[in-house]
Amino acid sequence: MTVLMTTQKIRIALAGNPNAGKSTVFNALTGAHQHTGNWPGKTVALQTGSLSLNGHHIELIDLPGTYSLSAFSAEEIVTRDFILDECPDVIVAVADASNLERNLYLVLQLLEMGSPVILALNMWDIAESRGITVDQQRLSALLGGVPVIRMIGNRQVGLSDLKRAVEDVLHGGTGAVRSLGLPLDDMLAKEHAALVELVQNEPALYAMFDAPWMALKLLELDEDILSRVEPYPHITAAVEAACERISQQTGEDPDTLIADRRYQIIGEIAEQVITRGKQDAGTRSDRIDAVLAHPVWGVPIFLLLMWFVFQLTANASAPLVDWIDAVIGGPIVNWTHAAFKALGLEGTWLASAVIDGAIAGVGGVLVFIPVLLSLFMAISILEDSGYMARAAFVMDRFMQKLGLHGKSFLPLLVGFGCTVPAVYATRTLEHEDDRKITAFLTTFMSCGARLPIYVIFGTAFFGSASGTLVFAMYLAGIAVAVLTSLLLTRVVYRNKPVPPFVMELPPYRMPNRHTIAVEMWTQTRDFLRRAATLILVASLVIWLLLALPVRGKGEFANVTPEDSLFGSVSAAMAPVLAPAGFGTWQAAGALITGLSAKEVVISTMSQLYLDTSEDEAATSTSFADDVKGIVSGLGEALVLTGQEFVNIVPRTVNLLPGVNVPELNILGADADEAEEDTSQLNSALRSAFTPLAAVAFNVFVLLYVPCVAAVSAMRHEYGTRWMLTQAAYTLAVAWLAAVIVYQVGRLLGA
Amino acid sequence: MTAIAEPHPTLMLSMAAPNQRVRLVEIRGGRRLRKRLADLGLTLGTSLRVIQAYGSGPMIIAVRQDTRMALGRGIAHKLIVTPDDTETLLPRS
Repeated sequence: MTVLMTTQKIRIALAGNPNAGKSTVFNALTGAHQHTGNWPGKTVALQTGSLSLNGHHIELIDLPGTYSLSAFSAEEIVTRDFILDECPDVIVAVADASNLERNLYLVLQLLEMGSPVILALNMWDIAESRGITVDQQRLSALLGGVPVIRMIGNRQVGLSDLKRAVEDVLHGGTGAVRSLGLPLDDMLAKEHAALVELVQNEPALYAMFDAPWMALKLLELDEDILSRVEPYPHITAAVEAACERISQQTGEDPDTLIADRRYQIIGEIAEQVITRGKQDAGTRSDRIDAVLAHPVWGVPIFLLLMWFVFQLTANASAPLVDWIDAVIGGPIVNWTHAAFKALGLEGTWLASAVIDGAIAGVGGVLVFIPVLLSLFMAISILEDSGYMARAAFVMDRFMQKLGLHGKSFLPLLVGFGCTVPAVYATRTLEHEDDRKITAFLTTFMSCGARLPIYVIFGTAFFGSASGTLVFAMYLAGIAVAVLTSLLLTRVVYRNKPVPPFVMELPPYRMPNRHTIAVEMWTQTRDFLRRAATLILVASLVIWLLLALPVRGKGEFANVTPEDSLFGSVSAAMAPVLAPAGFGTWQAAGALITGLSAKEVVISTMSQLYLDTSEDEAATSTSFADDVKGIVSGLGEALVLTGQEFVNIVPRTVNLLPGVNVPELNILGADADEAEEDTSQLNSALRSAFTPLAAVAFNVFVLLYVPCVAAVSAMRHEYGTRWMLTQAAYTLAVAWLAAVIVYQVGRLLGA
Repeated sequence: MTAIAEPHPTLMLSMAAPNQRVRLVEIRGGRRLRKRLADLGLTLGTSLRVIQAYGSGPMIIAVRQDTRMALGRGIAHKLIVTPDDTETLLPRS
C-alpha cells in the first residue's frame, strides 16, 4: 500500500547536522509558508511549513540540527522522539557535500532506525569549488538504495529532483528502503544478536521499535531506551553483563566501539565515492579565519560588527518606528474619532475603549515591526555567512567567566536597543539552557525606552551632571546582569554539565538574499502572531483600570485617574514602595503604566502631576490631507532609514578620539527637535521626589519587570513559567536594589 | 587498544604546532566527552591537522580533512595524538 492512499496528512521531516544548510532547503521548499511552533510537550521549537506536491498537501518539519541521535542534548532528543513517535512518511537527510564523512554519521543512524530516508547532498557548489566530487549512484548503492540528490539549497538547485524522489518514496517506489542495520564485527555482533533475541521475546518491546535497533541502542547504554526496558530486569541485567564482557575483552566501552564501527563503514564508503581533485591545502575559509578568528584581530572585528548590528536595530529602524507611531497617534485616532462621531457615540466608553485601549495596544505591537525586521536581517546575515560561529569562538573565553556562551554576547548587546529583539536573538544559541539564561538577562541591559526616563530625572535633579545618572544606570544594569548570571549558572543550573568547548566552524558563504528575506518576514510575522495578544490584553486592562470609577463623582470611562480603580490600586501599592523613598500613588501609578511600555512612565507622570490629560480634540484635517501626510511621512521615514544606514559609518569612525566626521542629514532635521518642554514636569518632580528618592526610582525603573512586549516575547520563546519567574525575580531585585540605594544613601547622609 | 602498539612518540594535541598533521590515539575523558567528540567526528585513529593555535586560546583543527572544528585548550589537553607521516591525507583516487 502506498502512503498516498491513506487519508492522513503526509509529513516530511528534514534532519541534518547544524550548518548543513538545512534551513536553506527548508526555505526553498516552503517559501514563506512556515511557522514555528512548540511541539506538544517539547521545549525546543520546531519550524514547520507546508507545500503541495501534485495536489497533495504536505507538512514539512524542520528538525533541530544535530550531529547524532544519541539522547544527550535536548535537540537530539526532540529529533529522535519525533522520528520514533510521529513516524514521518519521509525523512530528508540534508548533508553538506563538502563535508560528507562527518555528515554521514547522522545519516547512518537515521538508516539504522529504519526510517525512509532521502539523502540530499547540499552545498554541492562548495564541494565542487574545493575539487570534491561524490559518486551519487555508488553512494546510493552502498547505502542500500537510498535516493541521493545533489542540491544547492540557497540557489534552489536540485529542488525538482528532491520533489520527484519524495514522490517516488511516497508511492512505495525504489527509494522506500527500510532498516539498514549496522553491520557489526565479531564480539559486538555476537552480543548484539543475543540482545535482539531477548527483545524479540517481549512482544510489548518488539511492538515499540525495531528489535535490532533497540538492541544496538541498549549496547550504547542509551538512557532513553534503557528506561523503556526497565520493567524487564532480565534484559537490563543482560545489557550490563554484555557491556562488561565487551569492555573487559577490548578495553573500550561498547558505545565507543559502535561509534568507531560507524566511522569505519563511513571511511570505506568515502573511499569509494569521494574523489578529490587537489591536495587538501588551506581553504579560502582558513585564510579568512586567519584574520577573523585571530585571538588579537578577531576581538575588535567582532566588536565592530556587533556595533553595526546595534546601530541597525536601534537607529536604522527608528524613523519607521516614529512613522508608525505618528500614523496611529494621528490619522488613525482622528479617523476613529470621526467614525464614532458619525455614529453618535463620541465620548462614550466604547469610543474610549477602542481609542485609548485597543488602538494604543495595536500601535504598541506594530512599532516593533521595523525593529525586528532589522534585527532578523542582521542575524540571518551573520548566521548565513558562517560568521556567528567565529563570534562565539572569539568571545567564548570572556563570556565563559560569566558562565555564559560566546554567542550570548549578541542578544545582550541588542538588549541595549530593545529587549524584544534581544529575546529573539537568543535563538542563535545552540543549547536550551544557554538560551534561557541569556534571555533572562537581556532585560537588565537598559533598553532605549528607559533612557528618556533617566534623562528627564537627571536634568530635573542634577542639571548638567545628568549624564552621570544615565551612565550609572547602564552600569548598574550590567552589574545586576553579571550577578544574576553567576547566580543562575553557579547555583540554579549548577548541575548542568559544562559542555566541552567543541564547535564546528562552517565554511564562509555569501549570504543568500532569498534566505534573508524569508527569515526576516517569517520571524517578524511570528512575533506579531504570538506576542500581540498579550500586549493587546495588557493595554485594555490598563485602560479598564483607568476607566473604572471607585470613588468621587466620576462615571465609567470619564473619571480622574485619582478616583479610578487605577488610583486605588496605585495607592494600595504605594506603601510597599515607601522604604525606597517614593511611596506615592503617582509614582506607583507611573510604574504600573510603565509595564505597557517603559517610556510611558514619563507621560503618565506628566498626566498625574500636571493633570494635563492630553487634548483629544481631533484636529480637523481633511481625509485627503491625512493620506497625503501618511504617504509623505513614509517617504520621509524611508529616506531617514537610508540616511541612518549611511550614518553608521561616520558614527563608527567618530568613536575614535579626536575624529569628527559630519553625519549625513538629508532632510535637515534638527536632532533635538523632538525634545519637549519639560520644565513644568521638572519642577513637579523636584517637589515630589528627593534627589536620593529620584535615584532609587530610576534604579527601580531600570530593573523591574520589562514591558509587556518583552514579557510576551519571553513567553513566546520560553513559556509562561520562565516568563513568570523572570517577572517575579526582576520585581524582587528592583525593589531590593531601590531600597538599598535609598536606605544606604540616607545613612550616608545624602 | 590502539594506543599500545604505537611506535611513534605521543603528545597532547595542545602541544601540536600549526599545520602539523597528527592522528588521534587516545581520549583522556569520560563517556560523555568521548561520545560528544565521536558525534563530531573525533574517534580514535582520526587524522587531524592543526589550522590555528595561539598561546593558550582555543585551537582550530581540521578533522577528517573537511570539517573545521574549534577546540578549547582544556579538551586539547585530553586528546593524545601522534605525528602522522603516513600518506593517508593525500588524495584518494
